[in-house]
Amino acid sequence: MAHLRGMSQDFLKGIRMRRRLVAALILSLSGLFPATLSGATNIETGTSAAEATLKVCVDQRTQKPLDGDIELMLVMDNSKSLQTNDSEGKRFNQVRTMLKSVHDRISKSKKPRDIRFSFITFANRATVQIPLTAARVLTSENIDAIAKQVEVAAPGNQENTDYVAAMEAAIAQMRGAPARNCRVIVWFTDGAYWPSTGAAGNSVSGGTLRERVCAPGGFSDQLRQLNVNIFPLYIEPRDPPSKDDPTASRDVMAHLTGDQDAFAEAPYRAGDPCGALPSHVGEVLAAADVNQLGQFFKDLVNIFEGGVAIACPTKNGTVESKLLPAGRYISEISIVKYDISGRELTPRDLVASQPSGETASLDKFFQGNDGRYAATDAARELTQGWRIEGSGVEHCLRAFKREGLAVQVARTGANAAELTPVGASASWLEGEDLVSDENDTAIPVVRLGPKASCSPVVAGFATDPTSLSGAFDQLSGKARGVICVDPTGSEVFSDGVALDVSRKGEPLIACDGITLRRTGADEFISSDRKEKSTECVVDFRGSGATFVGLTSNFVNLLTAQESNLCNFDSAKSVVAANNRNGEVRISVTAVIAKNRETKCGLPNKSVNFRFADANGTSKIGTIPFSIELNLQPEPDRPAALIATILTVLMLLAAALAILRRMTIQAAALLAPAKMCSVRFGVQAARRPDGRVTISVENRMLRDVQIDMERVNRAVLDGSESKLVVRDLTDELVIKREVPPLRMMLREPWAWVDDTRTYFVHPKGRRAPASRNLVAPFREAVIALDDGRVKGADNERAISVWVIKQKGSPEGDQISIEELLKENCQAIIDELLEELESKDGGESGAATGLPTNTPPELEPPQDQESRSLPLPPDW
Amino acid sequence: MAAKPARPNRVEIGLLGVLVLFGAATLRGPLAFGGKYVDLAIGVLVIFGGVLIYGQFRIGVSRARRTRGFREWSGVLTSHRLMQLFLIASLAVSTWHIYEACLKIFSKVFE
Repeated sequence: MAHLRGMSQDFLKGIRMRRRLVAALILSLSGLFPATLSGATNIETGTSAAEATLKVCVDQRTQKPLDGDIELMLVMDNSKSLQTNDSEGKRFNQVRTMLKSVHDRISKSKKPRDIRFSFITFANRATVQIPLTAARVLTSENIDAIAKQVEVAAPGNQENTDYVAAMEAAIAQMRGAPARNCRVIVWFTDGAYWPSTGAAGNSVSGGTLRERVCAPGGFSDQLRQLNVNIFPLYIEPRDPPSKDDPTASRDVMAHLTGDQDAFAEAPYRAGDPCGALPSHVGEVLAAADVNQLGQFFKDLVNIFEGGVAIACPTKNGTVESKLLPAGRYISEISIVKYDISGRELTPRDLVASQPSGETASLDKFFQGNDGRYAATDAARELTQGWRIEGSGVEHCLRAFKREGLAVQVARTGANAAELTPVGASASWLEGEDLVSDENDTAIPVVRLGPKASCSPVVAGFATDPTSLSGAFDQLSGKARGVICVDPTGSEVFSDGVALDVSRKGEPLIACDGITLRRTGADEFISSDRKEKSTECVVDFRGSGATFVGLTSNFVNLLTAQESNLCNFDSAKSVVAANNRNGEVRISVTAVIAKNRETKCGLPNKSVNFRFADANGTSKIGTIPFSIELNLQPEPDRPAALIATILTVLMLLAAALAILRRMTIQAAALLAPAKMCSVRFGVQAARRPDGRVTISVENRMLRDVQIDMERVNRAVLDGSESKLVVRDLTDELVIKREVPPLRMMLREPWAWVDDTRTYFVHPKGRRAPASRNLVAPFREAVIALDDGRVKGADNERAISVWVIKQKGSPEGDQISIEELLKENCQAIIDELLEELESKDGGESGAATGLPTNTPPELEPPQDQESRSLPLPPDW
Repeated sequence: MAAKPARPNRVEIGLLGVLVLFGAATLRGPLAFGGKYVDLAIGVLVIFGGVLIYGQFRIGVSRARRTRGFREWSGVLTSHRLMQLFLIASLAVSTWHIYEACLKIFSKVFE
């Protein structure tokens, strides 16, 4: 155990030391360039880069960028240790911030893409919370709800930490992603591999985890086959348990990512079979504290946006970046503090050191806030080979390429041409040597044409006058080029900085194309029914050409079938061009025809415009145009509400019918065959002293005796809902009430259906408590007023029915007698009081008792002994 | 020896509680994609399941009262009231499920 603990400490120490995110940038995430920095050839030395570089959103086989949507999968640890390491749940706020940042940044990029969020939790097993097939497309409206879902689904309340289960689930989900989509797994954990079966055997080498991850065909290979990038985010446990197996976990994290200098080892040496690390598709990010996790999330956004690590992480309190390209090629830098202590550095805290030895505050060249700082005009003074220096706690600094650079090729002679910076960013190229012949290796090296590249080999048209002349003849329309800008011995923008290229006399098309795109499970046909495309700027300024007009209108842009497929109303849809002083903005606005599910993809269309070149010749310019729509029909909410109400009412009616049937069943009276009864004729009078004298068939109450022959003379019949008891002189009907709704929700009851004034025993629980019986009942004593006795002043005739369930242990005869003796006095006393209160006791019969459910019933009483006032109509 | 009076059936109470929890847990928001028939099925299941379990509970109580008696929980929260709460909750949950399904089923028609 001690050696395990020792390795655990080494592991944690290693993680703390090494937090580098060499991530290449993924301008492909914002749709501009592939992020392939691998195998870069140094322009001047021609040697291969020693360090394998991170490839994100790149097809591992063809090295082409994956320009589809971004599949962002969060694989979240749900083990109990999080309650210790993040008791306040800060990680959830950080997830929310990350989602918001990623969405905000990517949606504002030049080529926005959907961010499809899927979500898996794991502990002793993996649970797919949001499957990739039903991934939530991040929108500004649903981010909070998604973050809440993460919080609810991963509270950190389960045992074990099974990485194998987590990876199996994540890879299985990723297999369902469209081939052109960029796939990123953010794997969050705060512990080490410890499945429910234990991690024995993994502490040195081999073992289940290593085999499943690192062996041929294992998770590492599968990730690369699927072009998945993975970023393990690790929170150091405050109190690492000795059972953890950090060695295997460390090995597989390095192997999954291909991070060769992970854990402060260069190269990292993993145990078998994880020894040889595969291609670099991710970075291990280790947080000493949960607060640090938020910093990593923040930096992930910079990675997605194409930030290239230039000093990450800074170490030993010193900041010293790589040698950097000239300042004109860097549009922004990001500074993220990784350490939880100290203050986050800003450009004011750092200096820019020029190759000449001159230094100046970085604040002079880059300004901004919240960790992102844009280049100022002064950044042009920074020459290639400059670097950022300073001191502070651990940080990660990244640089972003400049976008929007454009040049114009102008013929200067029969076989000569020259490059001129044009467009909105022309000032950034002023004074730059853009002439590069075939053998020129001095930075910057400029190459033009569709094959222009800096990596893995410099290719394309050279830019010396002769080569440019050839390029002039061959380039037309939307052309491109690159400027290779990395200084010797440093690798920052190894695939160069992109150039838009135009010919003199032709306009500059400063966009990759026009895109009309809206997709996602949460995307509905918009209420205004219009879908707007991105805008393409065609710059005629300084070209000598003039804009004539669009040749495309919507009718000839798409065929009728295509319009129908995309659910467009061609007559109302338009292609618009807005010309402002030679800067023409072209866009497409499509009007949705019907509110129906709309799925269409037309990737290879084009918008054409007519212009007159410098010689007045009419020419056609072409802008690539693509459509991708995946929209759900907008629900008709009022109709849905009405339908809901009707449906619920119908279901409710059916449910109540069921409930009523069951209530009737519950309230069923005992079968007559199971009951026995007898009627007693009683004469009762109240004496002047208030006492009541009772005579039962000319006997004192205590002397009453009956025989079973008399009991058997009473006839009982009826059904489940009615019990009829009769003898030669009287008939009593007890009905099970047909229950109204509120009765169905209460306990069932039964009703004495008789017009006489009466009282019952036992009393029911609801008003009038003295007049209903809890059904089903097993016994009852019911006293009914038969009116005054002729010739007597205050003596009344009363029928007392005693009803019993057959089969009393003491015998039916005795039980009936006892029931009568126990209750007769009290019930008659109450009956007389009631009668006396009515017209001096004149009411007699016909008190108007209802035979149906009384209209006014009070709520049930908690205590049976409590009686309620009678309703006025009683 | 007289049989002890029956107590509220905890299995039925638990079942209805679980049914309500299931219904609530499967709510995904009115605009969640897909699964309109799933929503409809869950809504119907919850409303009828709730009624059936509640009705069965009442029948059980009545049967107990007829035979060996029934002893209700003491205190304010009786088993009957708890079941009533669950029944109302199941009704609310199923209504919301059906609303979600209707949102997905019904679309505005415009030309």
